[in-house]
Amino acid sequence: MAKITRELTLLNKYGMHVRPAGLFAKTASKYDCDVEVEKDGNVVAGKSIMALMTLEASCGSVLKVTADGDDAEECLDDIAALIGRKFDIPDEQ
Amino acid sequence: MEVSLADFYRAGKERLQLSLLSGYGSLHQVISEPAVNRPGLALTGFLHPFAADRIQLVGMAEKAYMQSLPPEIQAERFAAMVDAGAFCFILANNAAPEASSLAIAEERGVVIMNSPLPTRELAAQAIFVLERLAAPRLSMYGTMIEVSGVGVMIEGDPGMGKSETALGLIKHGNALVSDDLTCIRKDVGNNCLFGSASDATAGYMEIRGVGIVNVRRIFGAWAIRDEKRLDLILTFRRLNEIRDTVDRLGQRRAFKDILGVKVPNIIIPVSAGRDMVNLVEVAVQTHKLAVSGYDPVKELSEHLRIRAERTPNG
Repeated sequence: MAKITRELTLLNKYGMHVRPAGLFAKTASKYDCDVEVEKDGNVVAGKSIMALMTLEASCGSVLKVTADGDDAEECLDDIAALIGRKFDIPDEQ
Repeated sequence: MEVSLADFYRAGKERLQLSLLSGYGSLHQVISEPAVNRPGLALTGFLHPFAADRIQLVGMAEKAYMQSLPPEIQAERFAAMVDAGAFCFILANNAAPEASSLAIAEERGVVIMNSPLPTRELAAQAIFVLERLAAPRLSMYGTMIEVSGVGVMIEGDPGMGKSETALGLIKHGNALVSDDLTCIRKDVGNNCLFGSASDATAGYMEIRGVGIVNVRRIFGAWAIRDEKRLDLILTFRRLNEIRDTVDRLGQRRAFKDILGVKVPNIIIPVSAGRDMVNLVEVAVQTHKLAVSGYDPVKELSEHLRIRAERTPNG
């Protein structure tokens, strides 16, 4: 079991709105590990779209993403890549 | 919860009809004791004790007393309160601060506001706003619904069908408070909890396979409830995980402690084919009856005992 935290900065233009939240939760849900996301002291479940949207994280916000479980490393790599690719949203590159 | 003057001004601006007269740059200050104080005696120069950490509410009597003093004494008394730590004054009845007080306030970064409300109402509203802001809060994973007047939180692991059950309950005429993440606020005075949705996502749900659903659009305004007292927590658990511990009679009274408030908690086993909407509705009605003092187990026991007595042995 591994518990890993990484700080990831949102790079896409409009931050954590519906589509990014959906893609984030979908990516996190591919893995068995627990995923939590923290911003400004608010901690929410990384597999919940509704919870991610309540963070109201904008472009440039730093998210502390913690994964806990056997596949934590792969999960964080995948999430970091997704955020790095600005969620593959063409209008927000 | 830490409350700043800016929080208070923002939350109370409309309700208290506040106008900011000085100290715009000092709004970031934290109100260390979120309450109001009528300065009264402090105006006479009596400052030990003086509740300087609170917002000072200047009513008609305080204002009249200040006006009765010579201008240099007014300035002296106001400065003494500021020296003692007073950082915010609100004047009722749209009263204007004395020119000297305003000058001192501007120089020393003291916030002065006024309001057209009469003192009594202003005090009541200010306390209401402060208590709400300072209320203990937390977020809970769970979907909250008002089911026939009862505020019910449905919690359980992801994929247990919380949102789907909520959707069914809404179709039956119940109202959604929040989906998935519920903001809980403690009403300290009444020792109870209130749940609401995050402003960012209020009125929306995520239903797996369907997507984001706008509840108000589909079901109408009655299907949304902004805030509701939390009366009951239903915990969805997989039947195979808790098979041996299920309370078959429903006699066990369990509670969850949230922010120091004990909330009745019922565990509902989930398995394929169970009609969760129906179960929640019946659990809520049973809870209502239990709260009113009715105990079906006791009644049935009595019924069986009487029948046994009537039936001759052998």
